[in-house]
Amino acid sequence: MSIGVYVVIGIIALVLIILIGWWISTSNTFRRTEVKINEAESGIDVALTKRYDTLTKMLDITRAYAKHEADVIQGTIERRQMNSMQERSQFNNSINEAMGRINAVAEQYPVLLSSQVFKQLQVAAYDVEEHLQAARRAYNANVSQYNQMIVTFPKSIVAGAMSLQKKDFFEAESAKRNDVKMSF
Amino acid sequence: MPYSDPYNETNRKQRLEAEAASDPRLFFNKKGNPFLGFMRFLRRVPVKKEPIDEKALLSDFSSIASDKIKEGIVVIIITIIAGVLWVLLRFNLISKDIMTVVGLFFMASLIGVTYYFKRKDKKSNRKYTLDDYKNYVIESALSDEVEELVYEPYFGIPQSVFEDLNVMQMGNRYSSTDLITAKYHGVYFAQTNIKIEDCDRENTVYFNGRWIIIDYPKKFSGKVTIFSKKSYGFCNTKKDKKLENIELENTEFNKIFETSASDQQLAYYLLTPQLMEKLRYINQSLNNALILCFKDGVLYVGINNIGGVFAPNYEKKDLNYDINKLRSDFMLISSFIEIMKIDNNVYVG
Repeated sequence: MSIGVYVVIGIIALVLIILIGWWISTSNTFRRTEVKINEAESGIDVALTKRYDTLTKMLDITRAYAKHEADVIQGTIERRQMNSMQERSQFNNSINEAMGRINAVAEQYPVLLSSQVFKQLQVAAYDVEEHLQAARRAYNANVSQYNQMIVTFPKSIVAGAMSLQKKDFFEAESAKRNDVKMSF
Repeated sequence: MPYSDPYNETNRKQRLEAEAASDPRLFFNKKGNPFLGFMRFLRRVPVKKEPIDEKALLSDFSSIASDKIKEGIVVIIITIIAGVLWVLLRFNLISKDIMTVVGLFFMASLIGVTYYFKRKDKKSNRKYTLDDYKNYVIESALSDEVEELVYEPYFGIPQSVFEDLNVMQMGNRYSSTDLITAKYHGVYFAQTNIKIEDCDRENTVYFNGRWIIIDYPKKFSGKVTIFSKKSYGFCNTKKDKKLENIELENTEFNKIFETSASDQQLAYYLLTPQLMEKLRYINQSLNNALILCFKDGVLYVGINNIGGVFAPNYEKKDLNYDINKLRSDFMLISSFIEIMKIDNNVYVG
């Protein structure tokens, strides 16, 4: 074989190596992003569970003062299997609604509102909500990056070969979207 | 002498050695003023402050300020004379006019010696020192806004505490002075002046500026660092290799700052959208590098502004000017605390 053939084979081999390297690197990026998404997803689950537990404790205390109202609120929420982000969003919204209703009930019972345990639970609920917001933002940022990679060329080729699908965002309820006010 | 030795220390070298060797974990693990916590660790007791005679204080400060200006002039004169001497020696002009050299040398010595004795004599007649003036300005500026205010001119953040953060290259000389610490809206903070340099390399100053510590009531474990990209040209920040790079959802923020964290969710938890906007705003208003480090429940803020935390204006000699300047400097701390909505009553309960 002549030198020219060797050169051509060499160039083809080099291009193949570069392509394989890029393919491996891109698929690893997808995997890493998926791991990050899963981590953030479990962060959301932990925060939602904590929110639910705090809500249950608040309802237990409320029940001592307003049994009927507490039972009605309890009936509106139930622990459920959360397989999709949409289900998680719905569950979170129902907790938000229940929290609002408990606070409205507490307004009518000053003894309940001034109770030390109730106050502590309100603080805990606020803190858990902050953790949930952080997990939601981290999840959505990762999903946004992941979805962008899936639809943009040439990474979309690797995504297609790996049968990757776009993921759903964890939506904040509309009232929460407008709560960022800036003042300096 | 109110401020000559407020903490009854007799050996400054020993004190600095103790600070350098102290365990950084002991700095913030006690409830209460972090500065006082550390003073307890070093087994030093604050002494009671004496009442200040404002008229005498202002008169003494005016005299100190005049001295400082004269000091500058004397230094310039001596530098010029030394320069002339160097030129004469460098170009072998000494043999031509040796008397000029001797005369210039004699004049420089005379100016230096006369100035030294005059200043010493004046110093002994003063009741108050520059530190007393600084203390008075700080108290006048901040006592209405904060509680438990302490100012310590010869004390700062111990080297061990700073080094433990692992955010900056450490040279071979570390100094920290002018510590102010107090409680604002229920949150303890400390502010000090830090200078880190490498004496073996010419003109190598790694950091020279304000260092603020805020005892963050939201308890967390882990570390998040935020370096403004301006800092690359100004000071030698050091990236912790254990931390991963974080891209936040605010793209404008990502353009200005480089964020690293031990855990992505922790970064999102601490860097709320409001705080990110505030940091952008602060960064725009500063010409200097901004460094932030959240570590185990404490926020550290560094501004490499090549100046003291508090330096009185010797030319103006105006008490109100100095008070207002300090108040405006303090706004950075207060705005940090406010934007983070740090309110112990809400968060800690």
